[in-house]
Amino acid sequence: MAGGLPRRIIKETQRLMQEPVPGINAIPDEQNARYFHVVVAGPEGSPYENGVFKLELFLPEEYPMSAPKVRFMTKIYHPNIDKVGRICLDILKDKWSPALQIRTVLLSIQALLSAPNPDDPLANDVAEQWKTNEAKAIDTARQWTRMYADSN
Amino acid sequence: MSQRSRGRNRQVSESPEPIVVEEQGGDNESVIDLTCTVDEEYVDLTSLSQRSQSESSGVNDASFVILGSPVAELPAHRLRSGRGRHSNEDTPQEDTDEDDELPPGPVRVSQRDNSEPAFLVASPDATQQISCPVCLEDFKSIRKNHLKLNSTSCGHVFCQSCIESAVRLHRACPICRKNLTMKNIIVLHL
Repeated sequence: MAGGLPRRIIKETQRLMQEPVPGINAIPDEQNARYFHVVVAGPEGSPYENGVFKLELFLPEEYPMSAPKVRFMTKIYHPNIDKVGRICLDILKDKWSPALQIRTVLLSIQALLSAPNPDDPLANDVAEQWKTNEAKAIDTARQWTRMYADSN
Repeated sequence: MSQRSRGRNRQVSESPEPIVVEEQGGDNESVIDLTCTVDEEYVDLTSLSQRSQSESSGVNDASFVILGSPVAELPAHRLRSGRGRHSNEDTPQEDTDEDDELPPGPVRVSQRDNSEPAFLVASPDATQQISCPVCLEDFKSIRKNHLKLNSTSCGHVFCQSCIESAVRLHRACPICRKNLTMKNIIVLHL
């Protein structure tokens, strides 16, 4: 059983397919069932609206006792997401709980797009811009969404 | 001056300390056992014929009516210690779980179930709907794996193996993040 896929991952994957989260698409890789290709739609009303953001999600060996590793593949202008797509989100770090799931993690990331938190920044320059000139920052985020996250 | 006062301090602090430490140290359990002279009560629990006595004497009787058959399986020493501490003060006991709560007495578990959702024990159908929020297995599969359901002191239910791993790694409840140790985990004999 050592190399087998834990039943929890199988169950989660099945449920993700059967009852997908609106605006979120997570498909396991054909070669590696612990690796998911994720697409998150930019939330309405946010500067990421109409954007389509690709992410990668990996379930480590210790999952669900340790958090999944998630990263944005699509470039995004957001104070809590850095240049290489790493995400600053408490539930992915010290606030992880084994009762959280792929589904809840992706929902939290979607919520993070709606509510950027420049007071807990990962991309310092972006956070600075967000605090000093929010309108301009939001505008840049819109531009980046059009440039890098165009659904077409 | 400073030397003198240090010396004083040492004298003062040294004499009471060992006593305090000894008192607190290993004696917790024995203190509990000694002060709880509740022989009658635990005898009540294990014997059907005396059940009526316990019913008339305490609040805890209802749980027993429901536990019914499993009573015979329960080890008597656990009943004694669990019961002894709970006979008089049920509710405060739940609140002070973190202190020194050792015996996860089955009696208390049933009380807790009883006080709120009695259906947990009363209706076997209801147990089928319970699943562990960590491994996502339902009650049936958990039983098939020879595991029991466990409850935390904050009232959240998991399978034995998941809550043990979670507490070991995170020392917190996976649902509400309340700090937990294994002492706060109670086996549910469902």
